[in-house]
Amino acid sequence: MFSGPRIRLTVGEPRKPPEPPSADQTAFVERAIEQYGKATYNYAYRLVGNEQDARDLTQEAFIRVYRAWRSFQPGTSFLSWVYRIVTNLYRDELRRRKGRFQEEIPEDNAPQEFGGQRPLAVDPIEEYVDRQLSEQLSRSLRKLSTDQRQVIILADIEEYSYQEIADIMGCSIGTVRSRLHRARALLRRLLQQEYERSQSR
Amino acid sequence: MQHLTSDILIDYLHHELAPADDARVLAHLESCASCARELNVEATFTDRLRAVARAQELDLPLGFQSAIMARIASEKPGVWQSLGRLWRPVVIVPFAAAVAAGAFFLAPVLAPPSSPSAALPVSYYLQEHDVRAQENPLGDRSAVILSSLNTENDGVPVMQAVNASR
Repeated sequence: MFSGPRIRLTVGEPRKPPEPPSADQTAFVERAIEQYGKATYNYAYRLVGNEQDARDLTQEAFIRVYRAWRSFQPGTSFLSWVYRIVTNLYRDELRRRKGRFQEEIPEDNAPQEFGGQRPLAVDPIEEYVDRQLSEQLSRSLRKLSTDQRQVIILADIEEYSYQEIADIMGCSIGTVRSRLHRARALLRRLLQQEYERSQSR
Repeated sequence: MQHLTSDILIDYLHHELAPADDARVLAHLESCASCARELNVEATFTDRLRAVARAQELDLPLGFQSAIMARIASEKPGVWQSLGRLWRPVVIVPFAAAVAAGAFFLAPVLAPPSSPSAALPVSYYLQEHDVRAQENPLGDRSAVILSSLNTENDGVPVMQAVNASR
């Protein structure tokens, strides 16, 4: 039987809410930060690409958690709920700043995709040393649109299901699926360009 | 043999294919080295992404939690927020009961009498009723009818008595 590599379904932090919401709103938020603050901060950091904005975004998200703590449904994923808050805050902030978080390639102007052809079967990123790869990959990730970067973070790094991603991003599963396909193809192409550029130096 | 597309391989990798499709992909991968190689590339790509993310993982900045709690402490609840907090059964039910009891006991004291006659004794109405009943020619206790009932008129004593009284 073929035993090829597949993504693990359960890794990282358990996706359960903090203790059931107590009568103490402040205690609820404190517990939420202790358990999920770091994950939320890292999610925000991957989304915005810098520590200061990630810190502000995460703080604002937990203030919203405090204000809306009664709307959290015990038994559902607390982390998904916070990620949804972060996502909405980030979108609001992007609209307010008109995309000045960082330079992005709009989806319309993104490099052409593969038109049904596969990317190269030989993956150039295997030749990178870790540090180099980290830089190249981070740079390439930042060239993706917000939605593309977010879907890769959620599907490939955070390992959420398509349904969970759809809930967090507020879109359909079909949209998640197509965004992920496009984003991965584009990211591999960008990485290949980075690789070729580094080889020609 | 038709090879699997990247899209299908990505969905397979993320366990997002329907069971029947998943089984078909698995069967194909067992017999197609090219697609198995391509799946391996996609999986390696994901592993690298995850490894980079792990390597870049940040700890929460110092004072992160206390900054949030300080901001929360400085937030004053708005009027509607304060009122909203009162809208709970444990508060609202006793409050409603107290208002109802107060209304029940205080209404006779606070409300003025609806008309001056409310203070008149009951006997007044009984006497008044008797007087008016006697004055009514068609009433049960009319003096005219009572006197006519003593006459000998077969069948229609009342009407005759009334006519006679006119």
